[in-house]
Amino acid sequence: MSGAAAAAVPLLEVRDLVRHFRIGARTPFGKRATVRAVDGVSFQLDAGETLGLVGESGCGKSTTGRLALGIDRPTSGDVRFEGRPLEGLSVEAWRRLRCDMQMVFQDPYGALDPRIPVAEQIREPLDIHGVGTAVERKARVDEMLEAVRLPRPLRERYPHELSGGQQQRVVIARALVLRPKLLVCDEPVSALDVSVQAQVVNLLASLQKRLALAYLFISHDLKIVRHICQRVAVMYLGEVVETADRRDLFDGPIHPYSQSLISAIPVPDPSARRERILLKGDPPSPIDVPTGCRFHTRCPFAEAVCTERKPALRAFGPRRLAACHFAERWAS
Amino acid sequence: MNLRFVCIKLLRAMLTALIVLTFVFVVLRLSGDPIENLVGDEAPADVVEYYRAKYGLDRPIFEQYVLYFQGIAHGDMGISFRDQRDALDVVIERLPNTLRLGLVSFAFSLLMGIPLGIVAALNRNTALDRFTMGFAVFGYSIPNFFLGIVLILAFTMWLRVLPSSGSGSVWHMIMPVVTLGTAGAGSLARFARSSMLEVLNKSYILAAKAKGVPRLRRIGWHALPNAAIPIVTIIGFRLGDLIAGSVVTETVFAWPGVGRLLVTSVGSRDLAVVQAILILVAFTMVIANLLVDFIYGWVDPRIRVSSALEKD
Amino acid sequence: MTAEALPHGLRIAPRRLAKYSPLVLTCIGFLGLVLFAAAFADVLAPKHYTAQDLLNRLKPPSFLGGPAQYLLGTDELGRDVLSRLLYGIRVSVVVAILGTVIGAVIGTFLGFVAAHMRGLVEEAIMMMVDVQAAVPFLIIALAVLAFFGNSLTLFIIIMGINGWENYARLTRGMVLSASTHGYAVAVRSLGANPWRIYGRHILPNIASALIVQFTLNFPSTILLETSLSFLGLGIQPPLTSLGQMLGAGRNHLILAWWIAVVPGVTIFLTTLSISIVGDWLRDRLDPTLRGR
Repeated sequence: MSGAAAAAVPLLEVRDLVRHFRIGARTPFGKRATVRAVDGVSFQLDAGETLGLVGESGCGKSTTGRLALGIDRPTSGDVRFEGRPLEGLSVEAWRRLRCDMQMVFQDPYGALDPRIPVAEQIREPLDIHGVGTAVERKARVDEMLEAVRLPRPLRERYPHELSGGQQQRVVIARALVLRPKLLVCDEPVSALDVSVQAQVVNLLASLQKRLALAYLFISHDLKIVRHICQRVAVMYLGEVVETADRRDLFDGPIHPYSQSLISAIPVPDPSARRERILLKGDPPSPIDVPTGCRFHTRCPFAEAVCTERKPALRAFGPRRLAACHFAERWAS
Repeated sequence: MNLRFVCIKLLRAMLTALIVLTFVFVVLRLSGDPIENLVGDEAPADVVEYYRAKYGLDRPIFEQYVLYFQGIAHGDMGISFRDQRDALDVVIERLPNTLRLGLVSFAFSLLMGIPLGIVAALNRNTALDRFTMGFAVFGYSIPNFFLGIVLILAFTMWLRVLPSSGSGSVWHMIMPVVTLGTAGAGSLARFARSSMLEVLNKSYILAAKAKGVPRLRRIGWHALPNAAIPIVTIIGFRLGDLIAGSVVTETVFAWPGVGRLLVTSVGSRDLAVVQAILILVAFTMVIANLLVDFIYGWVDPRIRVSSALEKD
Repeated sequence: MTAEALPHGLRIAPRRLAKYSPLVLTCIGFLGLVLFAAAFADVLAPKHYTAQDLLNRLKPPSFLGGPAQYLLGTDELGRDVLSRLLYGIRVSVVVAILGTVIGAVIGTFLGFVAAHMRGLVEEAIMMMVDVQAAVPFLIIALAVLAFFGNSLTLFIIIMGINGWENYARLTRGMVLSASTHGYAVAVRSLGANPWRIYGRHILPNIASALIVQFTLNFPSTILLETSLSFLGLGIQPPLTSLGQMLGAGRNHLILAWWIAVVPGVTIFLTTLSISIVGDWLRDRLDPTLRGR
């Protein structure tokens, strides 16, 4: 469904998304602590585009992914798919929307039912939504199996009889069998062996081109994100600190956090000189968020103003945003 | 063990006790005239009147409920119509016998079961292990009434060395104790073995071995205390089985305890006594479970410090 | 390819040719025999279980020198012990199966309800579980029988209530842990409704734990029935059950010990077999599940 008219409305738009969790048991004495997992995240994704969401563990990227799909409900903020808000959808409408947006999970074995053969699990979304006749469903499943390059004999196997990489392929096949427009990949290769990671990532990249899918690709591994994503958003402690096109981010990151992440990417040339930007201290807890700029406690360039005022996301080019008081130093 | 933990456990215990008492109250009302149930149909008229006024049968049901509770709190649970005495007194009279039997049987279970289980664990997969575990399975599978009868057959009828009823001497206690305690011993042995095995497989035992710690110390100082924690909780569960077991055991051996009293009272529909015993047992169990919870919470630091991450 | 542990601790044993130990096979065989006896008691029994033969009272089993037609001897009314045994097996087995099934169905259902509805409903159900677990069931059963008298229907209901709390607790725990991660979330994100998730995905996966619970509960139900019947408060004459035979036989231990020992041995072997088979089943289905 391409065309100038459709391009005007982004496929997925997320505005000021907030998700707080209250932890600890309910007590009549005093308030419970709040985990500010996602604290004001905004971005948009066009059809057929791949956006990477990166950051360290606990920065809220997985939660954002779930909010984007509507699996979780935000504390406040807006999620719109093709212009229509997810808020207020009836249960039925939400279920039907599953045909357009799906998810690939970090733990492939955990996402599969251990007692059902994989071909049947790939067929399940078709069963749930009543798509096609039995013959058509079988054909679709075969199509998907080929698309993810799973050999025929594996059809009737159980998940535990497959390797991690094969299991993930099954999950991908299942997610794509309904031909969704959006695929949220939540650390899809983190649980796999390094040698298998490349295969699965390549598979995802080729599927994306073939089926014109939009990806929200969540990962802490920048090497992979660089390989597959056109644009990248960097998250820190529940907020987006920088958004840029792939080239721009990896060649010249603006935000100090992005800089440190990118400087840490290993380079396969032992003689190359790398300036690693090391961060001080430990990541703060999302319960006890630092004042002002959240990154100031670990930032090598922090100054007084960083403790007092929170930097806003400012534009530094057509698709370039960064939230730092001193961004001008590095924006070129 | 923090205050919050204690309060929650206390609250649950009280709630459980409340529910049991309410259950008895409802059952009393449902099963016929409650006064007749409590004092029997041969009680003199003035006693009947006394109880009728006391429980306020003409008053609204909620008042009856409250009055009922007041009665219980004062230890007034009706009249045993067989003895024409206060039901609670009749029960309390028999309590020391049951306690004697129960405590000795409990000690028997512990002293037989736990060492057996540990020995089995230390000699895993040898003939000794299989033999002791076979013994244990035998122990907790055999119905206690059958064990009692077999013991009587063997030691009273054929060998003629032990008396089969009454509670006069130590000799009288031997068979009842074995009957009552064997199931517990078997179950504890199995559990002690699996708990010990689990601990023995842990990395810190292997680390101690690598450091050269001698075997006895490894077992006694490192393994045993950690294996003891789950065993302590299991001991709490044994109490319920002990109480249920004593009902049958006392009947088989004509042991004059509360268990036997319960059976005869059920048979003769002496409902005041049944009620009294039920309430007594419920209270005992609730308090015992509470104690086990507290001990467990104190002994295992992981329970104390846990706090759940909840989503709203 | 080795199996990995599921979030809630269940896994499938690797597929290989199952090794059946001779002990387990013997137990399964014995249980089969018991079921067969229960089903075909009226065909197998040489005499009717109430048929009296007053001239042949208290005769020992034929292999111990008694009359040839009474394979296991006679009781105090001259009734054939073997026939009474077969009918007694039938009654005990039927009552135990009915009771266990009722308990399993009620318990599992309530467990699902508790896990699905959360909140107050869950609290209430868990409270009931606590209460049931707090007092030994034999005492409760005795009290109820005292208050309401003894009818067969009531008795079976009591058998049914024995042990439901274990199913409820187990089901609730497993459904809760399955619902929060793994395939339940995945299938929900595919758009499935709760019925499908519970029925098609969660239930089959917790079934093995439930089956193990069944084998733990079944002996306890049999023992409850036989204990109550032994005390004279369970199955009433003219119906006969294993416990009742034992209870009645107690009075004749000196003269005719077989009246008590025969049913007693039967009960013992039955519960022993179920325990052994249950253990084996548990080991096969998941070696990480530990028993008490």
